[in-house]
Amino acid sequence: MTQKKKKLPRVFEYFRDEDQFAGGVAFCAGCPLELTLRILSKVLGRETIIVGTPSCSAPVLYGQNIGTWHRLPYYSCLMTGVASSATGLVRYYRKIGKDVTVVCFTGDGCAADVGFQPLSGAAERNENFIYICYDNEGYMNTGIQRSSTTPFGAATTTTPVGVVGRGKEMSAKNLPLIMAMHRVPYVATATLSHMEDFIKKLLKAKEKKNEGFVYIHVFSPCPVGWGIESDSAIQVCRMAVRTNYFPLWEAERGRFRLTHTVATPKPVTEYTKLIRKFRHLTEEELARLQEEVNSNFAFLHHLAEFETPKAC
Amino acid sequence: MGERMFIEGNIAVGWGAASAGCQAFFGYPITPQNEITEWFAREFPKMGRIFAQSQSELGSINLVYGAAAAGVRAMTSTSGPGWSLMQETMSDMANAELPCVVVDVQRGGPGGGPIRHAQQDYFQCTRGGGHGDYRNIVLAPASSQESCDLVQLAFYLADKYRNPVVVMTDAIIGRLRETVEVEKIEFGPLPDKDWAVKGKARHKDGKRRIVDHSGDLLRRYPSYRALLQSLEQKMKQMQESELRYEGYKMEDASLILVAYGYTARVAKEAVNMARADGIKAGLIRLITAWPFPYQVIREKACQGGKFLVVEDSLGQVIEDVRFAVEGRAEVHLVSILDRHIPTDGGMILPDKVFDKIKEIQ
Repeated sequence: MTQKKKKLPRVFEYFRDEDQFAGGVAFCAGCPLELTLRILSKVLGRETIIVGTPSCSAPVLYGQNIGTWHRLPYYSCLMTGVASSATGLVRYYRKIGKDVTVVCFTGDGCAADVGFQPLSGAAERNENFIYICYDNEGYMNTGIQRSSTTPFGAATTTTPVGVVGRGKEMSAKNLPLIMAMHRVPYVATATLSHMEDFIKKLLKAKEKKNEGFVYIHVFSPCPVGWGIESDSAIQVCRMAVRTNYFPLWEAERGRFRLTHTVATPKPVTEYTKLIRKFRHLTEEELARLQEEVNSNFAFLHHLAEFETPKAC
Repeated sequence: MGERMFIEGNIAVGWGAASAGCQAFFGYPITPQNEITEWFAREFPKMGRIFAQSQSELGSINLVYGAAAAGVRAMTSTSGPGWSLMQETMSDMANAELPCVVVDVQRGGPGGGPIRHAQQDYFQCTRGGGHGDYRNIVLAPASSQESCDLVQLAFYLADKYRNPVVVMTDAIIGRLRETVEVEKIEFGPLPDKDWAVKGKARHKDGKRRIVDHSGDLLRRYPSYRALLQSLEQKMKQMQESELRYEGYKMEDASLILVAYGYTARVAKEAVNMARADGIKAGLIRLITAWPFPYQVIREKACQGGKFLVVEDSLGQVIEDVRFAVEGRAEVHLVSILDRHIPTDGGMILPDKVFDKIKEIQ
């Protein structure tokens, strides 16, 4: 008699470990960071060390007042040197022959601005750790200032909309592409609306970190800073993918592959209308944003010659 | 009469800079100085002046370096960790003899530390902060009004001495909302910035200018020694002419409190409490943390006074006071360990200082 295997829901097949996080953490209501961290620790397992910086994730990872909300080892270091500090940690564990997953978990301000120099250095030296950047497009923890990944037109406290200002004048820095150009073993973009895709990428990251540097860019809307409803973060993530504003792709040593393609991309206005920081944009400005989205995607599509799955 | 506003100390810094004719501000987010950066982002473009947010504090101070070399009044602001990052460039600017203003809104340390108030950057600010032989004038406001006024003074002194000037506030002074009268202060004429790199056509002699940071290249000085002599001369002159402090009930005081910033306001309250109790207490409030009033304190020590330093650190100002009295008088300390609660939200309260006054008098 063949025993019929109970079929699990697809996403949960990937979970290797129990939940390392307590219920109810100190993030703002509706912040997708909590889910990101919860999934991350479930997939990567208990042998994980998180390396963090002063950031939005700090209150939970670092703890507030009397305790933290998780059971993982945590190393809090400087924004200017997080990738270098993680290197020291990884080199030690490899020397003693212990297989641990070291994960740098920082925001876009650290990854793209102040901590970019060590990040690029660690990628070039091909250090064996995973760097995860949660991209909320600004310095949300210090009060919603712009960062270099803030998109064109977005209103922040240092790119205000008023008599003179019209939001950020420049385009966003495409950090995952820059990291892919380091030709490291694995670079991927992910977001929470496409959970299975995210988990597959995390599993791959865990494998690939034995070969060298891994970078994952997680799109992470900020309910407070962007002015979205606190129950709509996942919806915003999904719309970012469907408008090609945030395409999902991976690159192995410079070989690009789109992991999710959209048959008929929606106009970017479908995405911007969900978010208050774009509220002031005129039709011309929206057209420029659309143009940017199109050209970014065309460039990416050009890079991803192989293995693009069928449109869904 | 200037315009009266009810604003935070951090915002007052902005209005002060605008009144002083600051043309460029470069910043980077760090708590508790974010209001300064945000104010400049909001107001400076309206005034047709320059605001840029850089990629790090290293970026902001080097942007200031560039603007200062062009002869423009430029400034930046930061807090503890960012202040440490800026030191290499600050030292470089002292060598290149370029004026700039840096506002350090002090927060707790060491390292990342808490993001709330403390007064632990005193050593770093008053001893130069970076490598090499140099000092910066350090102005320490104790109210929103003073934040506005001292920033204006800072620009004047920076141009006068061609040296960076530091405005050292703290998170309490920075976030304290008070009535401020914003008025442009005239300090007198300044020499023309003929050294600035503006392009040959804009200089009367039609010659190029070079801004450099190494004295032995024979551009500005005939030798390295000449550079050092010039810097020493400058530091001496600052010490002689730029000392500022406020004496409060000092005439007959036998117990002298020494403090700056928010703890000076605490100390003032404690002095009032002591006077009401019949204790002859007085206060020396530092307005310039460097130059330090060594001579004033030494004279008081010779007259047999006792000293009580009130500061929100483990003891930094107290070393300068001990140095001044040279063992002639008792020096006591109310430190960060005497805060009313042990968390980072704790403060030194007047009651605590008054208790200490009663204990030592």
